[in-house]
Amino acid sequence: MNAEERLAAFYEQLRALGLPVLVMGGHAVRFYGVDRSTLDYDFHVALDAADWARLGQTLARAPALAATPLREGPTWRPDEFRRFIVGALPDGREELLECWRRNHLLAPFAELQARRAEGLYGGRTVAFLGLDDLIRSKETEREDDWRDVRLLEEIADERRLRAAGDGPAARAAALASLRSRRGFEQARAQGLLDDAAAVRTATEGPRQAVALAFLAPLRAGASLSPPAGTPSAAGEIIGGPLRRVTPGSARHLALVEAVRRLLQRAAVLTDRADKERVRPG
Amino acid sequence: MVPAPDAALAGAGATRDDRGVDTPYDSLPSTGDPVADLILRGEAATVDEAEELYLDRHLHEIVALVDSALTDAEFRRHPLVALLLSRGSRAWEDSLL
Repeated sequence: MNAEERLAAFYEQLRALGLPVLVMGGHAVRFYGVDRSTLDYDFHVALDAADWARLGQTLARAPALAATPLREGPTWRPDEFRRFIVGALPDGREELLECWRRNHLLAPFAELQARRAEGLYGGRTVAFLGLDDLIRSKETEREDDWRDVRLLEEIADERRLRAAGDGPAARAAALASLRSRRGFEQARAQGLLDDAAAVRTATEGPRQAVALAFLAPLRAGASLSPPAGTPSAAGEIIGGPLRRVTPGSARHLALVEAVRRLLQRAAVLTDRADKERVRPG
Repeated sequence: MVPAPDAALAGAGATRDDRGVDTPYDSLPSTGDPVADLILRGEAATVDEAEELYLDRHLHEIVALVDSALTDAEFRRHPLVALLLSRGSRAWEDSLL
């Protein structure tokens, strides 16, 4: 059984035990089309405190986990995250089944469940975090996660730009969510940046800060407000220098990257603060 | 690695003399490559780490470069800009997808 089939088998076992679960982590990244390896099986599980405390006993009832005695690994935040050693690879490394009950980067489970994506994976139908939620879950202090973010952003842009032909709302939605340079160039090639109405809607409704940075030169005369939570330095770039550059020029792209780095730096600090909250000592 | 900027661009932003003046290692001679300097001074362990550190410390200079009189070609060639773009989101033709 390969890793994808094993993930799918674990998912099915958890569902058979009555656990509401969504796949996150490396297998979810693979599901969306990024070719990368992963050793862990990561799940978001919706459980109340009592059922969460009994999770080890519950998992031990799963036939797929009965072959090896289930051992629990270390965790700094036992109320939110637990990991179980479910096997060993030929090279001796441990296989880990990791469960999140709460994650400071993510919305409550019911919202995640409503935005989930289901598809065939490892030979079975499996439910994963929605793509935007998965990207959010990767905005951590780990550099590896940001490499996933870069690729997932390109995939998210491509999906929305493919749907942009569905009408004005879809065009504006694709522009309002632009996060990658590849997506920006694709939008330009599709002529979306010439659609003044779509650009205006995209910059005035809910939108990503990076999307606003990509679109700001196209709204040079308009008043643009960065989304809530945007670091002030990034907001100043969006409200100032980005309004004076030629769309698509090196100056424009450099400023977008500056905004992106400021956003990433703020996200890293937020995640680090959360980890420090739970780290011992 | 970041090449030393052309003499013509030296006054426009990041330069070989832009090594962190607040470090205790200022007396070390510069190699002419600010990224290599960060490694030699022990401030970064890898090229990847050094490039990230260099960009984080000099990000504010991007705005000054944008407003400078550099031509587009000069701007794109500036070491700080070249590094920023090479470590940022990939262009369509460079995408791994």
